[in-house]
Amino acid sequence: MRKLFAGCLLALIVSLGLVLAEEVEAGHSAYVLHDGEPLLADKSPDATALAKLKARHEYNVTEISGKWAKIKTDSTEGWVYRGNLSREEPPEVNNSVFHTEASDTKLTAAARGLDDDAKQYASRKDEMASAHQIVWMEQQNDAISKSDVKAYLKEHHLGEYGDGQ
Amino acid sequence: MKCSMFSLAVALLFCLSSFAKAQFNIPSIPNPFAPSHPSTPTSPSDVPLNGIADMAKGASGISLSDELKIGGAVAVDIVARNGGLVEDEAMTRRVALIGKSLSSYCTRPELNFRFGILNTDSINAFSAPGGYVFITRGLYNSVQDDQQLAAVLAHEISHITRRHALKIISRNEFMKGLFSTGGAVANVSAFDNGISSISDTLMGKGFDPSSEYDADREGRALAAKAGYQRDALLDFLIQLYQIKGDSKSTFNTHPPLSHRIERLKKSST
Repeated sequence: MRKLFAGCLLALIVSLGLVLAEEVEAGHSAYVLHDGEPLLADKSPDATALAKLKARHEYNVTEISGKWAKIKTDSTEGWVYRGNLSREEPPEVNNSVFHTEASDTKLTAAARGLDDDAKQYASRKDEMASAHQIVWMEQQNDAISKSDVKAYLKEHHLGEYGDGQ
Repeated sequence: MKCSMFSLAVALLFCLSSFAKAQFNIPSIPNPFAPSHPSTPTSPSDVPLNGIADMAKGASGISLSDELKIGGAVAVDIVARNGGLVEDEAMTRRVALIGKSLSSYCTRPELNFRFGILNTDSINAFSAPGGYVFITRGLYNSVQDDQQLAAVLAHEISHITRRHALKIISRNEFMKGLFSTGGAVANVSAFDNGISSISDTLMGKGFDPSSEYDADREGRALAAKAGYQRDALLDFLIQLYQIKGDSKSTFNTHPPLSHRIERLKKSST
């Protein structure tokens, strides 16, 4: 009997855990991953943007329809692709940590090359050739813009550009 | 017996409350016995430099600035110990485009993920804190399509978003007093020894199995979010297992293929 009780309790906890681990759901709050995420008039990435949502701001999810979530703001309601939402508050993108100059505050904090301390480590370990290769790799990666990624998603029917709603 | 049942219930409730806190960001209850802060800053100019760094610290207690120093140095070791990088623009662009299509849906938007191919025949993949993801040339040539490549990259991205390496580092004694309040490396020899130790772990025995299974689950969820096939990782692991079994030449820093396949199958149903 006690074993049965313990088993049931465990099953309850596990199933509750699975529910909690689920993605965004109606009736719960959610955060957008990226500042300026458009709130769309319809369940399509090409729909009219009604507003721009703020990162680190908690929004209410009022409805889920396939891969889209209906979000309510103070003034309006609209749709966001569920992949762009998180139940957990994303970390702050804080340029001040890097003592960023005002002229490059548009760069994300981590959009920088191999850290100087990592380069010095490479020099001390006689691994400068590897450091140079990482710099090359970073240049190759940084040549890909956000619009390139968006075009790639669109071309390959991925994310919000996927087939079906 | 009653006592053990009660303990079990309390332990489970504690686990559940911790989980709920992580999911919903429920603030911790302040400790009434903790001393009050001696001088709470009242304006931004009062915030000390280490206070700014603290604001950016994640669950691991390591700031983003420190993560990039550690991750960059570990990335150097990964490249140095695995035959260097394949400097092929087309191959790197393919991997980077798939990787960035995944990372655009990940839960660490503050990171700029970078993807590269290591010049070795072995089949493996690595990640370093700060957003560095590497696959080997052997793996690049083994995947059947972009779906499988995305599945492997999503697994590695998940190690970073879940801060698996940072959690190991934060438990390591070498972190204490390593960085000055301005964020510079304060003790060069401790830094070097600490990085070598982390690199030895990541490229020797790898992450603990629970972190690997966690990255398998999270990676699958990330791939699905980005619109890739949910079970492409499972398909790829089965494909490798059919050719190589649990050979140490495949993903030798990860749990045996058969274990990962079994777990993924169980969590698929």
